[in-house]
Amino acid sequence: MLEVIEVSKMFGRNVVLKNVTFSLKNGILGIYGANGSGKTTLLKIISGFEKPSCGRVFFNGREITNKAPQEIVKLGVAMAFQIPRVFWNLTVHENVLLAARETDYTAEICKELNLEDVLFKKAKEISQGKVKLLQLAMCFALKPKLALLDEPFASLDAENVEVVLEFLKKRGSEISMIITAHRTKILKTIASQMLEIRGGKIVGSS
Amino acid sequence: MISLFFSALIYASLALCVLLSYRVAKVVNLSFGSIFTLGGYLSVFSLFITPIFGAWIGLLLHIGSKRMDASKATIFSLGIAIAIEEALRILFRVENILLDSRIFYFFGYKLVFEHFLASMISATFLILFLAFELKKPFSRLKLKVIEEDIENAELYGIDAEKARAIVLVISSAFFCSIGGLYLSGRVISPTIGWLYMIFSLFIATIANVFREKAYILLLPTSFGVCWLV
Amino acid sequence: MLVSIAIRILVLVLLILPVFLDCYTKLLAASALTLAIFTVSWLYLEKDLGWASLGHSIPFGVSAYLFAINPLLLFFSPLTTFLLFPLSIFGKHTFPFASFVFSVFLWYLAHHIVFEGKGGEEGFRAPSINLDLIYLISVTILILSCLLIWKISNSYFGLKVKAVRDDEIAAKAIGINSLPFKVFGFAISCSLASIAGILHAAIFGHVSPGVFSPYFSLFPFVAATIGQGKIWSSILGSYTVVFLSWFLSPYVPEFHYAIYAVALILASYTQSYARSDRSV
Ligand SMILES: Nc1ncnc2c1ncn2[C@@H]1O[C@H](COP(=O)(O)OP(=O)(O)OP(=O)(O)O)[C@@H](O)[C@H]1O
Ligand SMILES: [Mg+2]
Repeated sequence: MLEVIEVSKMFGRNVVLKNVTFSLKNGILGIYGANGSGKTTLLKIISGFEKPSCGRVFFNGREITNKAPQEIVKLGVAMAFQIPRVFWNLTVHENVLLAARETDYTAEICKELNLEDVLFKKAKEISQGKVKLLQLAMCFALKPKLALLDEPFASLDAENVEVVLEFLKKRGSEISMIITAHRTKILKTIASQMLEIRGGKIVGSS
Repeated sequence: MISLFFSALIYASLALCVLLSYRVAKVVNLSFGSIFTLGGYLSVFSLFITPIFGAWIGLLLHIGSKRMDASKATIFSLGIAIAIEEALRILFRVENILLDSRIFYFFGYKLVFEHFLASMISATFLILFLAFELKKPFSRLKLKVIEEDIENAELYGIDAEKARAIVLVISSAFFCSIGGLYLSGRVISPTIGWLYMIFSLFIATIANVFREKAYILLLPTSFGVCWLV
Repeated sequence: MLVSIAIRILVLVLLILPVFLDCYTKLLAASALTLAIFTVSWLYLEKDLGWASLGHSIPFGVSAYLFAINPLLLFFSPLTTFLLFPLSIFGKHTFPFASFVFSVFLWYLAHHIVFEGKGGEEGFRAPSINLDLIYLISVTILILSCLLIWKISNSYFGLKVKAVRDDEIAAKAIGINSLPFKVFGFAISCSLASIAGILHAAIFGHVSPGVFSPYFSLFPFVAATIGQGKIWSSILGSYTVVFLSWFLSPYVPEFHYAIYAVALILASYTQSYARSDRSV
């Protein structure tokens, strides 16, 4: 499904990714590593928000290396940011509706992700954890084939971590995912495949 | 040719004021135009009161727009600009006043004395500032930190508020006194200052492209623009 | 709720009443009406797109000039979008001042526009139309433009426009390309402003460089400040500014600038710009 071939990324003279190569057929891929190891940069390159310095990315056999993010989304790759980017002056419902395009599906997803109580509040008025959930809801509302989730468990409380885990397990059968995290404990319970990234290099897989 | 050089000097120093208030005080100060006009009107009474009034308005600007973000502070300065303009209109009911001037000869060139004085003051101002820029590395570093990020500067114990006040007061006083000198010999109306402000804004914008070297390149830029126009 | 209903009724009365009054009042009301359309156009750009323009006199004045030079050029007036839109490269924070400075530049430039021996400081004569007729046209256009904006703003399409306003990157992440929506919003706003400019020219039968002056470029901002950003109260705000300045100008020269100064200073303390900003 996804193939990343020898991707490198430099910011100025700072080399962030070095010849990263991996492929994903199906299921959930977990990527873990320390702060600053390049996880976010890798996901941004796949989703088109950053251009790689060299290397190529293929999705379902089509090259998506230098495509604009809005085109990559249309091919079925959705991204949930580590620092949420949502529409702050629109309500939660409108936010999800924009991604889902239909009301029923919007309601369903909001219910599954525990967003019902804040459905008609503006995004800037809800708590950080709920914003994180909203970001996930928007990502899955797009009905992607591949979801890139950047630290989906950060800044969530124990109960919401369970909610998200449940949600991911349920969708995991039909949607492939790449999930990043610092800690491997939660990741191990859902991922079918794990990669460790250290200093911009893939050093281990299991 | 020589008058071109003089006006380039004047515009360079005006643009320096604009640039400083943009970079240090974080405001696109749109009230400079009206302050300039105010100087012209005040020079009817006396030239020596112009910097005092200018400084007062600078202080008012500083106090009024403390802790505002750039766009709000700029809107505030626009409000002040229009208020000054309206006050002038109410006080001097006659729309147009001709300011008198003295002519003198400089190596055979006919020059307006006030313009000559204005350019000399500008030259001094520029030289003083450049000396400050080049000679005192520590103050320069401070200035740079404030330009980069005002909140960071405060975290490191640099008094950004004071720097802001000084910049606004000095630049307003400077604009006002140059207005008093440079407008002499012309017919003035309450809106005349806009033209000078926009011109110096234009020069400052071009110089701003050069980032760190902007201060040093102001004079050549100003000369180039004046020559083109 | 009661206040907003009262404001709506007051606006309707202000729209209908001048029909029965003398010619002078009707002229005054018609001028306030065109400026109300102008304000509505500005408000759309500010609220739904998030760009606060202080140079909205650019589409207004340019199309008034085009109309005065040749009435057939009226059909080119939506193209004034492409005068204002490029300024958006300056970003939301600098856009207000970039557009303001550009409008002042056009103000000076307009003094030098001469066409077939006419123009310059004097300006151009515009084809003038019967006042009653133009008043009715203006009322219709004001109501239609309010309806249009209300319709767009509440549609799914309008929701996408607002999404682009809030966060362009987030919009890209859900597959919305921001550029067409931005251009669309600017086009709607500029076209309405051009219509207002053309009506203004037709009512006074004359266009002078003054259409680019800060009076017009700041007018919508001031009216919207008085109306606190709500559409009906902003219409009322534009009537207030026009009437006050008309009646008080004999005593205080150019009284509207006094209103402007107060409104601008107050606005810098109360209003918020660049709505997408939120410190995380
Ligand atoms: N826009 C940028 N400009 C310059 N350097 C950048 C930029 N974005 C990221 N970097 C650098 O790239 C490196 C990797 O950053 P990245 O955000 O991908 O790490 P991460 O693995 O996601 O870390 P974290 O666990 O903290 O989220 C960092 O050292 C950072 O300094
Ligand atoms: Mg990260």
